[in-house]
Amino acid sequence: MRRFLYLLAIACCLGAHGGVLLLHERAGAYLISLFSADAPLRAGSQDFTVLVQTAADGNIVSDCRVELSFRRANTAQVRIDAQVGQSANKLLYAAPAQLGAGVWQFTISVQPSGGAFAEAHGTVTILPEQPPIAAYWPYFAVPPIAVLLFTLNRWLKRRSKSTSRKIFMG
Amino acid sequence: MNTIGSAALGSWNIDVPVLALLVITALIYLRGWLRGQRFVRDEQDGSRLAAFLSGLAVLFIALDSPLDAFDTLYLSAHMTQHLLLMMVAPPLLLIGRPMLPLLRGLPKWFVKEGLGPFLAWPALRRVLSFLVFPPFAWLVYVASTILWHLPKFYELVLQSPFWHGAQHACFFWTAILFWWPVIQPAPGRAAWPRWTMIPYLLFADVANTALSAFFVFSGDVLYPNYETLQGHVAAARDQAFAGVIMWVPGSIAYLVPAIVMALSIFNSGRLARRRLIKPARVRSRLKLPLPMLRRVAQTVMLGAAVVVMADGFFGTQVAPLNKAGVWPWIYWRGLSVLALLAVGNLFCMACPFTLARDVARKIVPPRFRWPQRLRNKWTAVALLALYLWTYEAFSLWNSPWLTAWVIAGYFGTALLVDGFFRGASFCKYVCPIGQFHFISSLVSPGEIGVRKKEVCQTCRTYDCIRGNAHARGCELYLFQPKKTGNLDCTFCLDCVKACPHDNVAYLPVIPASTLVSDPYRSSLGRLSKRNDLAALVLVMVFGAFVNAAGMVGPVSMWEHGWQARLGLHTLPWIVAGLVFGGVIAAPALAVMLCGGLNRLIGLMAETVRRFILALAPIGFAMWCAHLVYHLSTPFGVPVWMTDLQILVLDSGLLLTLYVCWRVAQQNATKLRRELAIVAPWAALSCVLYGVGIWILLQPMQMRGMS
Repeated sequence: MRRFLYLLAIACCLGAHGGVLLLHERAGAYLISLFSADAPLRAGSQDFTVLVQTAADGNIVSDCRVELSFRRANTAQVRIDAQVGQSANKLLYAAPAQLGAGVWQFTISVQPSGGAFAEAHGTVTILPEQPPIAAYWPYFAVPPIAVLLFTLNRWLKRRSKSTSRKIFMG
Repeated sequence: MNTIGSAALGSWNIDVPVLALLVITALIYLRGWLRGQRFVRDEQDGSRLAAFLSGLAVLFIALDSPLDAFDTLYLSAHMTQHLLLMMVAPPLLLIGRPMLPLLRGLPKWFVKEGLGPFLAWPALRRVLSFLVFPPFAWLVYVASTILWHLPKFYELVLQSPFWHGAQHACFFWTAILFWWPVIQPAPGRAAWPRWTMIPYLLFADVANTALSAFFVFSGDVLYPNYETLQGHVAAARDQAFAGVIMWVPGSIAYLVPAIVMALSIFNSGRLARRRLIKPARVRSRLKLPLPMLRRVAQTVMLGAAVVVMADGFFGTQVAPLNKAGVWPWIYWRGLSVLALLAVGNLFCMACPFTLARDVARKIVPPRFRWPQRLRNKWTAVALLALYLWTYEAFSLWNSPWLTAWVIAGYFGTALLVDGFFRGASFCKYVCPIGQFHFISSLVSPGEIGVRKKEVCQTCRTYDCIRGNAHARGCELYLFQPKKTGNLDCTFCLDCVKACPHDNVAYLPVIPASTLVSDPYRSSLGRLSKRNDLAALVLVMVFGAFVNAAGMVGPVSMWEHGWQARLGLHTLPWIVAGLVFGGVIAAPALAVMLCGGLNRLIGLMAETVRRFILALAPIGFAMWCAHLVYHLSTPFGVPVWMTDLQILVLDSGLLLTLYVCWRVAQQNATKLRRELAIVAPWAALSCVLYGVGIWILLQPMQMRGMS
């Protein structure tokens, strides 16, 4: 039982960090892919990562300047420089962006050192922010679950006491 | 090294909660293992420890290493990660036979009271036995391996972080079930004979080989995501490589244990394990020079207070750039609550005000005794409420000059009070910071107490309270044999130093356990008879919510809305309305309501006071959630801060509910009456929890940031 509780706790934390592919497009001599950390995307802070490869042989390009810009009707443009150091995967260029809900047009501009400039375009839909109950439900569930387990614990204790009393009384 | 190689080596993705959980598990195992070594020493224990810790290390590598960062780009990286989660980490963890060490490593009361009933529950044991029944375990393991590799499910995993986590959890869990009958880590009889595990492993290898061969020899790329990113040729090559990883190391993981098992069956007589019982080793008690450490800590704090005052009076008046704006309000408060949570009342132990007092007393000794009428907490209650108001009304956090004056005033008052009056009158009856720490330390995991009661029964000198030539006795009049809990204890360690029998020490206790009972306490009497203590707890608890509410947008807008209506200079009065309404009117109303309901069913006022004291954990949790947030601001608030704050508040609520339930249990013999007694207080705790959650989820005014 003890180990199962532990394993449950560990398993609950087995969160993966796979990016979700949002765009894969050929732009000039390059293949540009855009990933997001979450799916679906929601308003607030979002982590985007960009993979740049040569179109000819698929080799990863890791020495270019990458910029992401997001546009939406009636909203100021959001421009971010994507950096290698910000990503867990050092082959990708990462950029955190604060985006509101709605449909955003984005442009990924890539300027490799000594290479030709390339741009990829796409659209991403950002859903409204989750209500707090939905966003933090596992934490709100802790007290009721703990109370439930405690109730079960007490019930088992009382039951075991009454069983041993019955055995004792014959 | 090429670009990909160096990038791969640098792509560690440290997930703090996973790392923390693995470290805590390792520490509990290690503690249990060391305890076990004191009684029975098994020659295999060292290798078991190594296996378990290696299993945790492999889990860390699978989840946080570059394998995790690259799993969306390369199937081979993802496959290696799965191999570690299924075929390496689970067997290593099980070889560590973790059940006994983990149980020994946990607090005894928790194992006995918390886990005991579950461990002895026949229904649960039957379910667990069924889960590790070999045919079932084999089936779910193989089925999960095959199902998750079907393209439809695998693509879902690559598109959704939630399903990706679910896949990893599923692999790990089913692998634990699969390896359980092979390794048999639990004491007791195996479900099936040992030799049956050989075909069990071989058939699993057959399934694994078939799946691997499909990866290697399938002409098509099975997962379009990888094909999109790598192109057809590279993706096909990557897929074949992933198949080889699954095939060769995978087969080794099944075949090696099968061979070892076969050999051990053949040589069972020769390889029979020998158990050597060795006598318990006596651990030498590590003795720290605690009183000396106290002096060092006090000197450091005194130096810090002088620096803060100097910067507050003469430095820039921009709070985030001034030490008086940062050190006390961000670092000191946050670190104090963390110390309370982890150890105990360390702030009072290192209090710089008492150091100045001690020095002054050597020159002019005090003559008077603290007036009888003031020997209660009412002065401190008023000062604590006043502090909460001045903090909000005059934005103390934002004014280095005022902060410096508050500290200087504190030194002056401490010197004045203790210059005239004997004992630690300032600490015991006046200091609002001390009272806050006294109440908060009720949920600390340790206290200063006696090691063996029998030793105190033979003592006739009572040095712990009277003092002797080497050390003074307790200045707060706490007589150790009659002391329960941390209330009024400043952790000065005078009693530790004075005890000639070395019988007073820092001892671990269950947090909030002293609230469960109501014995006569030295210098305090019965807590249930103290209105002043109940009032202090209410101000501290409700003050936590009022103080935190002051920093959130909606409350601040509400204050400024009223200020716009009533005039520019009315803000202190508006804040006064909010603070005094929050810390006096609201708790008075709540207690009248809950206490009134209790009185209706015949409870005494003493019991009502005990329920009030039971609110201390949720109040402390709110302070903790609030101040830890401030503590994190200079380093950048981590994304998981709100999660942590809610968890802290969860713990506070659960502790308060537990204490309330125990108090109710002591006042009723039947379950229905217990529930009737506890219901109003449980409802009040839940309301406070709800208010706390609302505050935590509001946009914060980033005040006091450096």
